[in-house]
Amino acid sequence: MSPKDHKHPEWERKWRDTMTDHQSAPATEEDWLSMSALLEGGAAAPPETPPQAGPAGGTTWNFLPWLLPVVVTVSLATAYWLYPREATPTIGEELAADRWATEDAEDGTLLLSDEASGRQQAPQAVSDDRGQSAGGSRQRSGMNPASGARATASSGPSPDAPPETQRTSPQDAAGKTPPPRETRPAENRKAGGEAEGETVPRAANGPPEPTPPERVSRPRRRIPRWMPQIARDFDPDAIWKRKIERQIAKLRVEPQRQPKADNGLYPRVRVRY
Amino acid sequence: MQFITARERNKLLAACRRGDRRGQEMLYRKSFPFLLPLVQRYLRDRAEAVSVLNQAMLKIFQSLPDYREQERLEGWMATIVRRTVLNFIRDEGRARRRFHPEAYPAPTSVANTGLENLAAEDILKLLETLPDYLRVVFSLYVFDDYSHPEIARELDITAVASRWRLAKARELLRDAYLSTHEINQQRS
Repeated sequence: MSPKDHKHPEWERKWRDTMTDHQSAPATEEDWLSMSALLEGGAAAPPETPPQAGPAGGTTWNFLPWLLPVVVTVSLATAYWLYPREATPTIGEELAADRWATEDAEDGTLLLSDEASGRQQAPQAVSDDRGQSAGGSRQRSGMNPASGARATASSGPSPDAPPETQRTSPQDAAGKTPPPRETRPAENRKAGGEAEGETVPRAANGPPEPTPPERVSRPRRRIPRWMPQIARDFDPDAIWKRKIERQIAKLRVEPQRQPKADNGLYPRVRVRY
Repeated sequence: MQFITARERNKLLAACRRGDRRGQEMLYRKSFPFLLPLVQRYLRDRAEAVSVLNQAMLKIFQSLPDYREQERLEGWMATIVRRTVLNFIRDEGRARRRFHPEAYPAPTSVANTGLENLAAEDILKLLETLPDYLRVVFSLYVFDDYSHPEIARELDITAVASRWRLAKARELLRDAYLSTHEINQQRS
């Protein structure tokens, strides 16, 4: 007797005992026919048995026709988005390249100003391949006043020193200096565009014009396609700098009213943040 | 309830696991008289009860590889049948029907002496007079020994509603018995 039996009245307990031993009439042929129809249509074959001939055998892999295209599509999409892109740079990459070029140009300016102070070996190597310096061409053509001014500033202080006297052989320059700067893409663009406009007198039967070195472009950073543009141009140093400058601009320095008994320990001014 | 000997059971189970249709038919025919009353406690119509039992038997055949030999086959099958019936009732929404008091006579005090000596067929007939949502609660509580919280969980109702339905089912069963008994006495 179960612990719940006290809740059941006597007749319910009797009913339970009666129904426990109760058997209904045996299954009719109609009952079994409906059951066999279910078995045939419902794949009653257990999964561990080998595949049977007929509809029961193929039900395990019925999902393949729709699963396979889904898997293939998802894999292709994933590969497409994750694979780094190398062709056709976007506007962001062009901007980044220009920024690098600007930085390189500034570096070049610094080097040229170094040249003015007497260390001219490195920039001379740049100018040797075309027979004249890029700075000189800028100055002559006047197409780029800023860079021309820069070039003037760099080469201006040494007018009395003819360039021929300061030149070193290309081999020596290549041995002493870092790789030539005209290999940078933006500078190539500027220097090349200006070089096209000038006329260089040459002897008709002179030695063959030295072929310019092949442009070696800086290898493009492999930026994944899924990386957003904002992440590509993200410059944490500049952001920090702007932030600190803003904070400094907000500072207010106020003179403090001095107490009567000034022992020199009170601050004279107060900085408000 | 034991409808099969251990030796027969092993043979039948092996045949059913192979997918042998004759073995499946034998197991079906042997277990049918024991399992159908279990379904009929919940479902009034025999054809409907057989349909649900067949669904349960299909599940049994499909789940035979999961059956562990140390388990009682009868109990395992009865559990699957009961779960199938309850799922059917839940899916059909039969346990959620609202009670309309005007449709039933007022409860009367009836002596229980007559109820005790009913045969199984009479019990089933009396159960058929109950509406579905009361019969399910009564069967679960009386025959399957469920508690009210368990019934509430199964049928997605409250335990209070389960208690109320059980009390209502008892009253209606007494009334139905009384009316049947009076008719029989008048005939005799």
